[in-house]
Amino acid sequence: MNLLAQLRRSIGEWLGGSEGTKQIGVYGPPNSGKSTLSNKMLRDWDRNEMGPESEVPHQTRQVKKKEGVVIESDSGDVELDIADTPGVETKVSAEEFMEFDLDEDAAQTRAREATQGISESISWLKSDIDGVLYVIDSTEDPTAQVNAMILGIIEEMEVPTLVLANKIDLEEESDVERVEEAYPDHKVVPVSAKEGLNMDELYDEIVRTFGR
Amino acid sequence: MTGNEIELEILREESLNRMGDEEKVSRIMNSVRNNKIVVLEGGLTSEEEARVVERVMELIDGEDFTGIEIESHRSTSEDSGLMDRFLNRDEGQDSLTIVGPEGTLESIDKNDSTISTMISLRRGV
Repeated sequence: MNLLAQLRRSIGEWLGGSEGTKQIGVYGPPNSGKSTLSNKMLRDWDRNEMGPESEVPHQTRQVKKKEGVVIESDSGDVELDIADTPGVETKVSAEEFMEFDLDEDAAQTRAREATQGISESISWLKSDIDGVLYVIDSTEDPTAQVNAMILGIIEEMEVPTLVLANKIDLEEESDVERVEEAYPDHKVVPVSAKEGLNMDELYDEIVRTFGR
Repeated sequence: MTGNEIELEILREESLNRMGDEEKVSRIMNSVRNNKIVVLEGGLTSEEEARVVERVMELIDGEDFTGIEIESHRSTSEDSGLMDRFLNRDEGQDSLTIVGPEGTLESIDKNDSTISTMISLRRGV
């Protein structure tokens, strides 16, 4: 582990993570299923939800955190503080929200909040996390520049990461192999957060990856 | 500049290397906000790209400036995987980053040796 990673981890513990509790960020592009995944995990282990899910991009416009979620599997257990983060992309316009029947004022407000959320997402990534669940929509091209950028930062910081190939319930469009080929250095876990498919394997990988 | 013209700016690697991080990001943003497409010889690191995106989010006004397109190509050795090329992990290899106003770079195709980009005139660059 490099000096920066050690320092970041120490600061993270000092800032409030209780000993042994891991700060996990759920990252990915807009509409990849981050909030659906976070809510599914909380329903399974905490009986609460993080926040609303939506087809409209940028439903999550600020980092939402749930503390002390204990995940168990056959190989052990791990306590996580889970943060659902706004989707990162390089452009935001009010027009894209108006396509989802939002009026002009609401669309502009949403666009402004989305830009702030993206900045918050990036700065949070660079501060105090112990691990990342990176959610990719397996029906889309996994080589989008935003994925490369975020995973590049994660690699430089040496943060343990699981890549989730989400939406495998969309059998005809989903292509998990394409995700695995794009990110051969990462463990790729195929899931459907919406339908709850393959969640046991995911929980097992979470315990193995972040429980150390 | 008329509606049918595009200004393409190529920033040499040696010139970029002389700039500090903040100066580099400001230089890129000034050009893109003036509807120029910027080609950066040597490319940007993931961290630098993120800094550009953070700056973009501060500057978006929803009307004249709605964002950017950014694409990087990392040229690496034959043994390198796709991730190595993305992350610019093979030092000393040729890399390239293209940044333009939102909606100007289309049909981008990347492979081992080339990066192909269709430049759209729809936004009146």
